[in-house]
Amino acid sequence: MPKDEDKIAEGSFPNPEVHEKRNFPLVWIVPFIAILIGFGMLFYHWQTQGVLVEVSFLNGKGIVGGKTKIMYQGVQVGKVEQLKLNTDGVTVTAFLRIDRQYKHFAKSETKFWLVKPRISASSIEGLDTILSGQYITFLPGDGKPTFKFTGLENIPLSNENSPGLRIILQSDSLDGISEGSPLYFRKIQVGKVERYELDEVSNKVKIFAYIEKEYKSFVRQDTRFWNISGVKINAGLNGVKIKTGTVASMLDGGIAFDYPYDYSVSPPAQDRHTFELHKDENVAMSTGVEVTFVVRTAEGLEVGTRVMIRGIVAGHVKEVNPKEDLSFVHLKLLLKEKYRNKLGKGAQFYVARPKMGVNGISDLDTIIKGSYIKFIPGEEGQAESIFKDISEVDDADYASGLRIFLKTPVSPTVSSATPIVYKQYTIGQVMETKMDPVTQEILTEIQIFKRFIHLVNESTVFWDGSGLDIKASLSGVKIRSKSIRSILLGAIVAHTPDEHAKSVEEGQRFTLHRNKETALRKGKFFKLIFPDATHGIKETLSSIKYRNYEIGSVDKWNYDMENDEFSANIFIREPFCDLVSEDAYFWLVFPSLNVNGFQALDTIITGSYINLYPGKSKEEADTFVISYRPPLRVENGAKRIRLITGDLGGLKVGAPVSYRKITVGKVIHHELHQDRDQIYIDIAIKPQFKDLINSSSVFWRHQGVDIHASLADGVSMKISSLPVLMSGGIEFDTIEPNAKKIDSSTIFDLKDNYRIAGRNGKRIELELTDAEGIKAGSTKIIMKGVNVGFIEGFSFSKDFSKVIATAMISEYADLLTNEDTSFWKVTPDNSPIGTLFKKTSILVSPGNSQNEKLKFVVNDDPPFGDTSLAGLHLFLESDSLNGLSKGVPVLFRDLNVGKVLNFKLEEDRIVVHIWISDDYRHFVNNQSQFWMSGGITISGGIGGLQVQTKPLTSILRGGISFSSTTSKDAIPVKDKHTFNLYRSFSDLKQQTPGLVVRLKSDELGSLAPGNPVLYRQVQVGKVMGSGLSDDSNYVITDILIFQKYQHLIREKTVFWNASGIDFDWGLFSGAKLKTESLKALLAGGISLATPQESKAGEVVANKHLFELQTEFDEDWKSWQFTKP
Amino acid sequence: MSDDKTTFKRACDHGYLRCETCESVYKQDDCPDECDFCGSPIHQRKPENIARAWAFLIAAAVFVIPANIYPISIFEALGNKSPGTIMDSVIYFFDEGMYGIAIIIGTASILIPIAKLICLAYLIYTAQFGKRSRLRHRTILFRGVEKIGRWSMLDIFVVALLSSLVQLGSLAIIFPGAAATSFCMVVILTVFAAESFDARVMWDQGLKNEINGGKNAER
Repeated sequence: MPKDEDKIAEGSFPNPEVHEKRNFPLVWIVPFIAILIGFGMLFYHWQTQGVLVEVSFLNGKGIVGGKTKIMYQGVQVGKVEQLKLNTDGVTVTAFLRIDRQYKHFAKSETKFWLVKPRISASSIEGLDTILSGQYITFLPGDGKPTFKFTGLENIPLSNENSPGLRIILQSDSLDGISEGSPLYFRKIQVGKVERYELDEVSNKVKIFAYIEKEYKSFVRQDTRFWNISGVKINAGLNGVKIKTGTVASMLDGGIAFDYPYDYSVSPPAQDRHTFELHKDENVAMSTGVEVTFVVRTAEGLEVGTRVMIRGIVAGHVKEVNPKEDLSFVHLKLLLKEKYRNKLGKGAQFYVARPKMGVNGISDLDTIIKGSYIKFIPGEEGQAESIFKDISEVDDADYASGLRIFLKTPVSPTVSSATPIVYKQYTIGQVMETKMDPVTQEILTEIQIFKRFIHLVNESTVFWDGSGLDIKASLSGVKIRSKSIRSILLGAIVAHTPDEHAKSVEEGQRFTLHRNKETALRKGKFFKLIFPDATHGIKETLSSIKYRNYEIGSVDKWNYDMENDEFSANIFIREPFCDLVSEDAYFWLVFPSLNVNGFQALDTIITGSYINLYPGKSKEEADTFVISYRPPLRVENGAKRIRLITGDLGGLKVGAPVSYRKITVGKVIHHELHQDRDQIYIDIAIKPQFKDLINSSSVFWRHQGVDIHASLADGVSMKISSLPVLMSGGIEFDTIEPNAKKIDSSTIFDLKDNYRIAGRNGKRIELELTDAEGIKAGSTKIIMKGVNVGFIEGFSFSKDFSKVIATAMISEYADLLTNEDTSFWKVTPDNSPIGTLFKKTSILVSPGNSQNEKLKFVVNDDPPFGDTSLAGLHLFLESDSLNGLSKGVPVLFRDLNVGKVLNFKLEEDRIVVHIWISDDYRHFVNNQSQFWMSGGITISGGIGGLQVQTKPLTSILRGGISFSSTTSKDAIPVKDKHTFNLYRSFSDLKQQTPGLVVRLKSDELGSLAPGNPVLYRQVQVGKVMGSGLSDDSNYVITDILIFQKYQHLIREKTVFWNASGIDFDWGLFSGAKLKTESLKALLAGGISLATPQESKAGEVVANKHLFELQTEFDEDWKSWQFTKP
Repeated sequence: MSDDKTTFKRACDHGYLRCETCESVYKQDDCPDECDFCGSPIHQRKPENIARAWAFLIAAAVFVIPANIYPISIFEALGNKSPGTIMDSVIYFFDEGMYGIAIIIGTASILIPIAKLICLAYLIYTAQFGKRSRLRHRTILFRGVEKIGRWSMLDIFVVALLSSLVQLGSLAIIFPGAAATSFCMVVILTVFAAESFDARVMWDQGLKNEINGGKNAER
């Protein structure tokens, strides 16, 4: 071993290459470079790390050490390294690492603050901080470099060096101004409020605002600032003016400024110039001239009260100061500069109070706006204004003119200052209204302005042109109005028809007419004597009408003391005064309740009026006595018949004369016979009914209450309709229609009642199970709503099991007393005639038989199919009642058009009797289809569930709907037409008419109504129902083949039961499973097949009987039936 | 063990040289300067291996400092940069309760690089000064250092991956920080140091001392 080593040591290599061993291996450059890089990085780090700055904040909310950035102009200049609570335990110190390159910002005047999101109406500031987090920013300042700062809580005032303008605004109150509130110049935001403080000395609010540089020049020394915070609502007569600044200023407050005059004159404002912040624009903008007054009272005046010149704000009240002894008030007005030269001679100030003036209702707005000072400008020159009370003001414009008087009706709508208009142009005004001490007339003194005097002459007429012209009647109220001003103020209209008439003198008297019509009218005056009440007839207002057309008016009332009577002067316009002749008839129309109900109801609204019935005479007259009743005119062609009776018995003129309850005439006159024993009653029968009367006619009193009592008949009582009850009436009947005609001399006897009159009634006996609700004498016997008789009395059958009522059939007795006649009782609750009868009645339906019968049984129900109810009566056939009940509605397009009256069970079906109101009967024709629409139809299928409901009432009660086609062959149906009633609409759709065939089978199998009838798996019909044959040996199944497939059924058609599964098992063929359609499989069904045309046989009739095959023959499947 | 040691003979003792790259064996006598197969220079021992290892090791050690104080990755969400050093992420995961990840990152990114540095320094030192104690252990240690070296790039790998994946524009973005480069340098330089260190040297020295010692002992 040592040998080896020696060998190496000795350099046993033959030619050893000797490398000089470098004393400094090159590899050492690596750590050197590494150190260099490392130091380089450290240096870089140190350089980028920046300087540490301490900023103390009141609280560290929102500042996160290591996160919160220092931003300046959007550039990140550093980051908060750490946040520490100071030793005082209140403030915090944030250690800010500011990038070295920005360390020059850290100077003593630099202000740091935290930027938080600040959302105000005017701006959203620091919105970016929501996402990026709050950051600290600063406003660079001058000073020595330092590393300790005190942070601000809010954005500081704009930098002292920022180029804008700083101004101070002084205000009494802050009034919604807040930090950041914008400053507007002509709605452009030019600056904002930076802060505000309460000045301790002046107790005023000092608002510091900053104006951006570019708008700096707009702020002059004369600039006026005012507060536009909030909403200013200016309500005046000409509307409500809502004045707001921008939305921002509404919410956030705001200040606007402008100049009272050309701003270029004013020197620009200096920095920190102090301005007054005014309450509003008006106050702010008024400037210039101060006018001082001493007034007795400052009522309605306060600082800020406006001074108006012709409606324009000219200034405002600046000061209101009472004198020391309170005897006077010093009033200092500040007027705008431009009115300086209007304060000379003649200038007047007065407090505006609401006043009716020629120019409208002047100053009415003060009611709303508060009073203001009116300023009438004067000449140029030294101020020598006078402050006046309003009453002292004489409007120079209207000072002189022509004064005339107008005789005014009682209800003048004019008042002082009502304008006089000529062609809608004001030419004068009402001065005052006064009473003539001599004539006791009301005189309106009016003044026509000087320059319009020529418009008025002797032919001028004046009328009240008040704005509102209300014409009211029952047909509506018509209001015609002129301008609101004229409504409020009224107006007197002057009209001069003749321009060349004599001019008027001062003080001349004219009449003020009620309206244009009366003013311009031409006609005649008449005198109407009112022997009785005047019933609301008013002077100038009540009109005279002819055929409801206004032909004149009541002019004036007179009272004659001697005769104690009123008379009215009435005026009738020109063409109509010819109607008034000697025998003209005037009557008063006033609201009254009389025999014919309410009369002249419209006069309740329009007021009473006087009607004229023109006379025929040629003689003229001017005095009439007014009647209170319309003239009993005998219509042309009417028949006048004289009746004679012993006493009048309550009959009044106008009482109706009726024939079988139809009014055919009336009583027109009654008078005492010469021998004072008899009374003649004249009746007039309308022309169209005059032939009803012949020599066989009988007349009797139709008294309101007719009580007839007799021992045998009990008591019969008859109460008539209201008019008859009140004024009585006459009835008549004509026994022999062909009797001799009457002549004018015929006088009929007026009998007391119809029994005496000999009416041919029939007394019948009615058998009742009980007499509940039936009263002798009052229970009526009604046929189709017509009273044909009444129950006279009761007795009992021998065994007391029945009530026997005696009834009097007074009308149509022959018709109603035959074998077929049916009587039934109708109690109010199930009365088909509805609310017409609130009492129990007995209804009668005539029969057709010729055999007379006088004893009847009264049923509780009407006979089935009774058609006494007016309308269309139909029968519907159905297999089940399905929840229908009496009274359920019949609906057409869900409109209630009728109802179910009754139903009855017939062998295999239900027959429903329905009634369709006459109004809707035309909807029913022979194509109509009826189905039960009651309840909820739920149809389920593979496709889902379908729920169909009808209106609630029909859900609850069921109903019958129908639809009608309007095809050509649709013909209206007659009463008692029979329809099929389908169980539901879907049934109907399927059951559109088709062929019904009957299938005979030994047993029913699984068939049920509704099962399909299939042809080649297509449903061509359905099973309707099944039952046993008459001999009970077979089951008969009715199936319906839809019309569409009807042709498939021939004599040789085979039907087989397709229900269930056909399982065919054979030893050699194996098992064969065959089913019909799924539906058939589930529910059962019938299949059919028809052989080819040649073998098919005849077409079958309805209800043809087929055999229902139980065995299926494969051959059938191959049958090819083709439609012929 | 002592038997092995006493009978211990090196390749060079038998007059053989080995190519470092392709493991071809040459007789010392006719050994070419460069390997006939792969062209790598053939040395009996890596030249200046101790010095080179020291140089790389020191350079690596220099980079350890920035690698740990600078952010390895910078996560920027919505313009808000949050840089994180390796230690930050370890602390973060630890705080979040993800101890496993914290341990993995801490081990792979902090512990192992530093341990590697220390181990290498120890190995080089002992080799340089011919310390013959625990030769076998030191060899195992060296192998371990060599093996584990590549795993130290885990952190860099994660950062590189995240940087390329999380590029969501202004919403969120991750980019490597200054420490990433430093860390890379640490890992690369330690690998270099380990590579340049010839583990046989410690046996050379150790053997020398042992033989000497043995001689002395025999004597």
